[in-house]
This record gives sequence, structure tokens and C-alpha cells, in this order.
Amino acid sequence: MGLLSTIRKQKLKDKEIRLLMLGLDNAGKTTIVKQLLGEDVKSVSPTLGFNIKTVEWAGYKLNIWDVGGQSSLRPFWRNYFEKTDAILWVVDATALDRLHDCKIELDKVIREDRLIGAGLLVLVNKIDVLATQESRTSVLDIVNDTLKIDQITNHNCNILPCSAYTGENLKEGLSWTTEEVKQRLYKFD
Amino acid sequence: MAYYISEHIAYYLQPYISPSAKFVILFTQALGDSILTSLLSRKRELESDRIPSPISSPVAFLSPSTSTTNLRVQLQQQRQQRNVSVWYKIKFLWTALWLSAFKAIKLVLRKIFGTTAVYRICRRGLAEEVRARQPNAPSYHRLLSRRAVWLLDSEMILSNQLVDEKLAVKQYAVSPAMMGRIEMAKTIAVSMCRVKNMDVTKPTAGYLEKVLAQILLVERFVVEVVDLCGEKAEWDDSSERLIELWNVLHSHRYWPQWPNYAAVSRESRAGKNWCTIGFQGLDPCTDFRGMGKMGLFFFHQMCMLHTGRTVKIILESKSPDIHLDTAHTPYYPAALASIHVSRYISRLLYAGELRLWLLTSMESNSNMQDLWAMLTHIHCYMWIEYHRFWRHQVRRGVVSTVMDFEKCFELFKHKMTGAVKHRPSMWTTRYPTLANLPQYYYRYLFPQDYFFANLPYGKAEFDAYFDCVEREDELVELEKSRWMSARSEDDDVSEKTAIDDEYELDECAGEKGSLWTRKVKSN
Repeated sequence: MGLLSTIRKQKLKDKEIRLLMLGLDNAGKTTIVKQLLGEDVKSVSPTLGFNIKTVEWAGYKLNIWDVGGQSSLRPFWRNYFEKTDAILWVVDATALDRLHDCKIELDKVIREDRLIGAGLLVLVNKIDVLATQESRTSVLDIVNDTLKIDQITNHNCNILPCSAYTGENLKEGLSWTTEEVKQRLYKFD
Repeated sequence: MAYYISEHIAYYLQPYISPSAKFVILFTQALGDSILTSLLSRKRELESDRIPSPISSPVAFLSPSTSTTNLRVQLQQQRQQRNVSVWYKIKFLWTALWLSAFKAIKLVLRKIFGTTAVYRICRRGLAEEVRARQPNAPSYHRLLSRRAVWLLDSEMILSNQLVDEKLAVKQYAVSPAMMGRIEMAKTIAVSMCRVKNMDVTKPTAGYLEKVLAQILLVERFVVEVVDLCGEKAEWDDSSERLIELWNVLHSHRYWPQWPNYAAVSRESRAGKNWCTIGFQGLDPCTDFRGMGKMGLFFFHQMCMLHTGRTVKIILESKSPDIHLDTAHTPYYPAALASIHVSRYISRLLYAGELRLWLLTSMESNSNMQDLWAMLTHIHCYMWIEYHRFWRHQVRRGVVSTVMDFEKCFELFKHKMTGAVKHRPSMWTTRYPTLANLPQYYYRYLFPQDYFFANLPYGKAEFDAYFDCVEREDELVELEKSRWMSARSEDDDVSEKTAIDDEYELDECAGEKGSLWTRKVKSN
């Protein structure tokens, strides 16, 4: 573990965390990043390619890699797996008919060797569209059942309902991710 | 009085003054324009703290957004603290210096001529308008009269005295129902005349009123565009347009008949595979997310007005080829590029960068439809130019996959913003001047980088541009059909070489036919 721990220590000194933002198209990845940066969330066009944004959070520098989710871009996702500390997987709560596609893509990502150990945070986006608490819980249950998040063993997982438009739960998501990465990096020391 | 005399001398002695003297005047004006442009953008930068975001609803322009969370406020506070850096202070001082120099020059002129800047511009514009109306008038008279409109607009933006007038213009743009445009312009003109000590009964006041009506129109137009961006494009009310454009594209004679294009139909809206014309997925409406109905409107207009070129762009971007190996072939989804371009245009418009272009291209009697037509034209122009730029980058090897799209588009935006904003004056680009000297010689220094220097101003120039594009397409089609007939005679040519040759041929024809952009072959 000589080299790896050196790298880890270097990372701790820099206090940089690399987050990878993935999900199907029209899930709201870019909108979430824009909301985190306090930019305008209303004018977003489909991402073709990728954006890197940096957010300062709890003394850490979070580099968020926001990669487009269109089917022709998905083969390129694996180019960004290297050195990723945590994955933010974004699910569209208003398009439950595409959850099956989502599961297939998620499985592909999870099985990847280079991502083993990285934290996984599933963000169920656009939750502000659902008015009542019951509908929210039911949507969360459906997502949980379809993606089978309980059965993922090689990643630390969490699922959070959020909304990019109102900024709801984004803060909690970031805190969870930072905590998770911090724990993992300290554990090997 | 002195100004009056100088004006008369300039007018009556014009035929006798050598053309070089005329151009010296024009060059000086161009230099002044470039300084004014930079001043305007600096002023905008200074006011950017008060403007919440590049594009949001016009209501947010007047009152801060209510849907802010703690996180957002916190981040904004952090950014504001970061903003007060040394660099920011230097920039602030520098801007103040330039602004005060500008005001000082105006003060000197006022002391010499005894007139205000607004009055001088009005006189000048009025005279140029009269000259432009005469038969066989040189074309620069029209441009000079349009320039006066832009100058008045910038006077209003930079002025510290005309606060109420500026506010009235903004309020009219947001709620136009309170008064008619002409009456509003009249009211604002009267109040401006009072501030600037002008005689309301003189023709200059009438001219000021007309100009203000145009400025009000443009302000209202910006708000209408932003409103249209905010309207969501739902399938129920946009399906007609989408299906119409689908049919138009597929029934065009440039659309290929061989089966590997658009053959496989997936389960999709209206039974059509929208991916083949460059949308992301099964429902094209989700792709119009940020641009709403405006993106749809522009895309539809492009398909209707320039169908041949749209088909060519869609084919050359390789969007219909669903078996494409995207990891190794340069490709981009065509419809998404259109949406990106319309987003870019709306941002330019909202940030005020397109003002010079808009005010110079429009006529004094333009209405809202004309402005919409102009914006449609510039969308078509930018999309065509972006496609050219992309192909050029592909040829140079800068762009190799779809992942390079954003990078390529950023570069394109950078260059295009320069053409829209920093080009100091539009009527002197044919001649090297002090103001456009680098631009003018850039094309000779870096021929492979020379693009979009000739942004069209006005309807006639756009018509010429699109005619040129159509002729180019016709030429390529003609050559292709000739080549195809030659190919059918000897069958042993393989498919691979056929495609390569077609590409080369296309380039050669483009180089011959294109007057507007200088194309240079790779190597």
C-alpha cells in the first residue's frame, strides 16, 4: 500500500475530492451543479461533453465532473472513472418509466473495477414536482426497489430525494458525500 | 452656432473634400466607437451586482428572486467577499477613470459648441437620415444614421442624469400595457428635453422621440424573447411544429434515400425516431428544457426557411447514422447544436451584447415581426457558421469525438462574441483602419483561424449570405450527381473511397462558392 497511501496523503493535504456526476439524460445533473454554484438554473441546455466545476465545502475542494447522459455519450463515461472518490447518480423522479434503463446503466458503472470503494449517492431529482409526502415516499420506494440499492455491497450507498430548482437536500447530499470520503481516506492511515 | 456652420461646411463641401479625408473622419469615429463599446461593457460589469443572473425572468430583474435557499445565499455571500479583491478594485478605478475621461471630453465639447451630446447626436442623425433618403445616396449615410441611434442608446445607458428615463424604459419593457409605445416615447422624449435643455418644438426633439420609440421596441423585444425562453415546450402544443419540420426535412430532395439512414424506428413520440435529426432521446420536448418555446421556434424556422442547408448539416453531423461508432467518429447531434446556438443568442441579447447589431440592422419603422425575423436570421447564420467551424476543427484534428463538442462550442462563442461586440464599426471593415487593424490583418497572419469577420448587418446582407449558401449547396449537389452517374458506369469503386471523395469534393465546391468565410484546406 506504499504508493497508494502516499497518494491518499497527498490528496488529504490538498483536500480535494473528485465527484463524478452520472445519470440518464434530462435527469438534471447540470442543473444540480448550477444550483450548487448559485448560478441561474432556468437556462440549461443539454450537455454534450462534460463540465468541471469546483465547490468549496467544509474545508474541502469538491471537483464535480458533470458528464452528459445522452446514450451516445455513455460509452465515454469510463474515461472519467479514474481517481473518482464518489459517484453522484441522478435519477429523474418524473420519468419512472426509464428506471429500467437507469438500472442497466447503473449496474454497468457499479461493476467497474476502477470505481470499487467509491461512495455512491443516488439523488432522486425533481422531487418538488410531487406535492404530497405520500407520493414522495412511494416514488422513493419505487426507485429503491428498481435500482436494488440495498443489494449493492461494494459501495457505501445512500439515497436522497432532492430538487435542483429549490435546492432542497443538496446540502445534505454534499455533507454525506464529504463525510463518507473523509472516513474512507482516514481509515487507511 | 459653430456646430451649425461646421455641419453646413461638411455638407456642402463634401464633394470637394478628397475621399481620404472622408475616411479619416470615418476612422476616427470607428476608434471612438470601440472606446464607447468597451465603456458600455464596463458599465454593465459594474452594474452586474444589481442584475441577478444572465437569464432569468424579467421580474427577477426588478426584484430579487424569492426562491433562494440558505445554501444559495451563503454561496453568493462567499462570492461577493471574493469579488472585493485587488484586481476588482483596480478594474473599478480603471472604469471610473475611463468614464470620467469620456465625460470630460463631452464637457469640453459642450463648452465649445454650447450644445449637449444628445442634441449633437440628434442633429447628426437627423441630417444623415435626410441624406440617406436622397436618391443615389452612398450606403454609409444609412449606417451613420443607424449609428446615431446606437449612440443615443449608449448615452442613455452611460448617463447619470437620465435615471428616471432609464427606469421608464425598463418599466415599459416589463409591462407595456400601461401606455402605447409612441406615447411612452413622447413622454420620455419630453422629459429628456427638459433635462438636456432642448426645445421640444424643434425637429431634433421629434427625432429623439422616434429613436426612443425604437429603443423601447428593442427593450420590449428582449423581454419577449426571455419570456418565450421561460415557456416550457410541451408535446401537446409543439407536436404540430415538430411533425411539420420532420416531414419537410424528410421530403426534401437532399435527404438520402438509401436505407441505412433512419431506417430503424424505435418506440418514440409520434412513431418517429427523433434521434435521427439530432435529438437526445425518445421525446424531443425534453431537449428544449432551458430554451423552451424559443428553441423550438428557431429550429422550426431554420428547417422551414433553409431546408436544404439544414438537411446537409444534419447529414454531415452524422446524427441520422444510428449504428455509428461514436467513440471513433466525429459526430454531434444537430438539433442540440441549434438549441445551444439559441441559448447563446438569448444570453447575448439579455447581456446587451447584441444591442449594437440590433439597432444597426433594424430600420426606423421596424416592428416586432421584423425584429423576430432578424433574430431568426442570426440564429440560422450562427448555426451554419458553427457547422463550418466544427468541420474545420475536425479537419484540423482538434475535434475527434462528440465529447469535444462543448470545447469547440466555447471557442466558437469566443470568436462570435468578438465579431458581434468588439467590431467597432461595421462600415469600415473593408478598409484597414486604426480601429480594426488587427482584425483586418488577422486573416493574412492566421488564415486557418479566420472566421466570421463578416457578420451580416441588415436584411439585404443576410439575403446575400443565404443566397450564397443555397448556391453552394446546389453546386455540391450537381457535382455529386455527376460523380454518382460516373460511378455507376464503373462499379468497382468501393464505398469507402466514395465517401472520402464526396467529402473532398464538397470542400472544393465550398471554397469556390463561399464569399463569406475563407476556408483553408488542412495541410
